[in-house]
Amino acid sequence: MILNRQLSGGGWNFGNTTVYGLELRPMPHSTGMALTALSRAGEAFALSNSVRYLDQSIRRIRTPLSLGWGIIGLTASDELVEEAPVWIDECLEREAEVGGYDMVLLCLLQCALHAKQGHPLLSGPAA
Amino acid sequence: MNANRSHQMTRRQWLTTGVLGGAAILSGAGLLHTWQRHRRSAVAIVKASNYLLPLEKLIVRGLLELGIDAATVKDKRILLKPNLVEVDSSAPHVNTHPALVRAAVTAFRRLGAASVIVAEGSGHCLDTLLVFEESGLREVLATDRTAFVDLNYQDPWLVKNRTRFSTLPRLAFPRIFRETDWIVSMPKMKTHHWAGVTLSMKNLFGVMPGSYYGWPKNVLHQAGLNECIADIALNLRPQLAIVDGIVGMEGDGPIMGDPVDAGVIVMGTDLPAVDATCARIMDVDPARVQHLHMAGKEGFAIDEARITQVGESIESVRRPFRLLPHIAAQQNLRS
Repeated sequence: MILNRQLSGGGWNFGNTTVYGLELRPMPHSTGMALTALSRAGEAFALSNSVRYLDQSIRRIRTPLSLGWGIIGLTASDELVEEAPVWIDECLEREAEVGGYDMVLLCLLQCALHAKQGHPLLSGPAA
Repeated sequence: MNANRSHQMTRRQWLTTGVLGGAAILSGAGLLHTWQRHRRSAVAIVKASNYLLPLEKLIVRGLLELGIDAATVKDKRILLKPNLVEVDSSAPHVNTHPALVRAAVTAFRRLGAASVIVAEGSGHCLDTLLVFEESGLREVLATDRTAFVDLNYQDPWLVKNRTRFSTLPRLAFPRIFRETDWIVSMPKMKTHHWAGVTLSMKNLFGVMPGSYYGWPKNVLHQAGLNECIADIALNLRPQLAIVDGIVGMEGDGPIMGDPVDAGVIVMGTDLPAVDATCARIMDVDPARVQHLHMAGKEGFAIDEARITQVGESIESVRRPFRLLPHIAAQQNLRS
């Protein structure tokens, strides 16, 4: 069902693909979640465009929700995200501008920081 | 006569007092309702052809025409609620323009507000901060040292749903509203594929915390979209609306529609009256927009005869927005 909701460019909105005949725009966090959910579904071929979209999008993103799920989604797809700690640092540097991030977002960034290829949410802290 | 007894009520006195008191309350409520039904609302229309104009001056001019001056604004804690929906560099007309938000911040500061913050809890894109950043608003507010609050992560402040157009017995507003004197709804002037139009009332969907209602605030959609729009706006009753109609959206709004140069800023203290005026500018009959019709039933001014138009006239700025015949909510919106 998740694959059925994949947009033509590879990303995901958060449910529907079209409304009144127009395709919706992809969102990085939804795409990260979908890739994480599909990481062990053996659909690597169908996901190559999704990984490409997310990899391109995440490079400019420094907000915790999209960055966190973006990193987790890419690592779930066996991608190496070497810059992740730097991006997370940059994201945290902006925290004061919005009066602090919610605990949920900080936890998500923590998961992203420790995500390892293939096992994004099951890995322990980095050695 | 027993001294103590003289201070006690007989059953008959108690009943009489109760009946008289009840009658007084009922007549008070009746008078309030009657007053509400006959009260006129002022709405200001200011022409603005683009975002490079001195928008702050235009906002102050509109406020003064509404009778809102420095004495009114002084020491108020003001929260501006723009419409931040989605990010796409090819569609900047989806969101309230950062230049107008900045102009409102500056205007209220100069008029003596105690504080001005900007807040949004995007209902469509789960990541409000991403829209905040990519819409260009973050850069603008950082320059001006203006705080931004993501309402989606606010603790809920539960209030009884007094109007009950929807099935929701209570409404959860963000707790920060308890520390706010003025809420200013700053929508984009757009058509909407489910609600007909989206203006200052519909913009308030974005104040409801996503952490309470889920994404994309499905509880509110399931309880009735137009009914919830009316409930939220009429229970919350923000103090002001400033509508970004400089560039609006027509067709398949609120996200996939086309930009339209409407060239106006519309302002007022009664949101239904502001939205009714915007609808007329868009050549939409407000009485045919369900949530405006509901507001009218509650006594709010949506009839043209009850709205005092200041600044420009509707006729001088009317710009029919394109409606799509295959979208049910946009059918029959014109007289």
